[in-house]
Amino acid sequence: MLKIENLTKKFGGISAVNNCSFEIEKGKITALIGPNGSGKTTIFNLISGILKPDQGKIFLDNQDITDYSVDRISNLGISRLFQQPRLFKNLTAKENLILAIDNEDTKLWKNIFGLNKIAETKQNAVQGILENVGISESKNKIANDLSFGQKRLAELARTILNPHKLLMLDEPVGGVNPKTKKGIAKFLLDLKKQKQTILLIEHDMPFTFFVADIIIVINAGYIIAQGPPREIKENKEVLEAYLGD
Amino acid sequence: MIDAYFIHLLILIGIYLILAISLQLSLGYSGLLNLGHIAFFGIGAYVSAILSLHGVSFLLSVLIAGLMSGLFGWLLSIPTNKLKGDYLAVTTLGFSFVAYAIFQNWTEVTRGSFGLPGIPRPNIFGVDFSENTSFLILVIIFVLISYFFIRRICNSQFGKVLEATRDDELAAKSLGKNTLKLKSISLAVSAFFAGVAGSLFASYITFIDPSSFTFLNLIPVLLIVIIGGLASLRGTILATIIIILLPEPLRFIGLPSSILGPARQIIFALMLILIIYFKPRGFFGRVDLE
Repeated sequence: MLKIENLTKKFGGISAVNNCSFEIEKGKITALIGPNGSGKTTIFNLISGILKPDQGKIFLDNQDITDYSVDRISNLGISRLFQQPRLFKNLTAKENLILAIDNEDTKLWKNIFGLNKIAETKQNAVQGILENVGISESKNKIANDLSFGQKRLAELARTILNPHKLLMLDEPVGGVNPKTKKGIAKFLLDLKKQKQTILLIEHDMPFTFFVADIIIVINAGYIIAQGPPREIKENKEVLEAYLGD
Repeated sequence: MIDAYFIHLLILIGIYLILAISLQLSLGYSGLLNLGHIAFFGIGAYVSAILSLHGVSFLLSVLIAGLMSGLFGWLLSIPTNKLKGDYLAVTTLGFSFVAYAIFQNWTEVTRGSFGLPGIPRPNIFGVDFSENTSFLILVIIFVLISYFFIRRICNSQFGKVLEATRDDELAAKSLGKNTLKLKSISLAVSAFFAGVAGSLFASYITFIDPSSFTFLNLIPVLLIVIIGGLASLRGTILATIIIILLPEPLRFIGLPSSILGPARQIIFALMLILIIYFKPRGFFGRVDLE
């Protein structure tokens, strides 16, 4: 589904991503792991169009998306959860989610003449996912007033509601309390059952090895290993560079 | 006498209200620190005045004035679309200086400092609006149309996506929103209504010159938006009334005209300091001033 070819990105003289190539298969969860600063989020930023590579290509379903804008890439079906909460802080949780459903809200005249009603199906979709992630009672709260965990859940819900072929989740359980973490983990397992295609960055190794089908290990911008979790666990280079003993 | 003065104030409140709610759309709802708004007001005033002086009907003049200002708003959005905060403020401020220089120096069209006198008062389908009382009714009609149109935008899903772009542009893009297009539309619509306000201003005063369209003239409008509260239309209404009426008592205490202008500016500055200190979000603001 997603193919990365010889991707390189430098900041000044420092290479954040070095000649990386990998593929993401449909219906699988692929996890990118590596130490802090190894280039994982840079790869996410390159795929989602926030950064442009110095070298290399990115293909989504054989379409070259390397030079596409962020919104165009999203509209082609890549939905991303950021590492830090990026909710629209002055809108309610529900309003945040409704914006993710489609782009009818960007049509001025349709909205002025009241032709963009929030249909019952959209309302149900929002309500359903709010209940799934367990924050339906906070749906009318301004996003800024939500707790960190609630923000994370609302943003995860918004990312999933955004029409997608591929979900990119950057540390979905990072910084949340154990209870919320458990809830998010359960939610990701449900997504796995639904055969969603997911690219995941996560530092929680037991969780990552449990949930992922394929693991790609990156260190100092280089991919040092990729394969099923069982193989990665036994890879000597990975053990030395990242996993320790 | 008092009645005429009161009507004059109401007309000014109406014109400033259109100017302020249109700025609220680009600044409060879309987060665009647009300091070029006074230029759109000026473009609307000049286009409308020139057309009216050449015999074009009032309604057509207002429409063309609004469209021209909207067009300039859209054109300004092209080079400034990727700018944020201070950079956008400085660039749009630069635009207002360029517009002022054109009003001042394109003397064949604008007559420069001599200004354009004798701008006719409106006559719509034989109904004469040359009296201030009837002109007030016309202003009220324009205020209502502008207010409901802008309120409609702000309360719709389109308004929500503008607010989303203001809060976090990258996140909005990540949901597939073409934020550059959204910001262009916002600036163009905002400029359109500033142009309409300019058109009403020109036909009310019946004389315009470049001194009405300097950055100093934008300060009370900016103040209205900040005091009323960002992203609040009802706050804008209240603040417009206060800002227009507040300096008026100065006229009756016999201050020399050389002091009157600076005294107004001092009152505005004090008001701004007090509001930012005691009520940082303004009267009804929903968004922090950043």
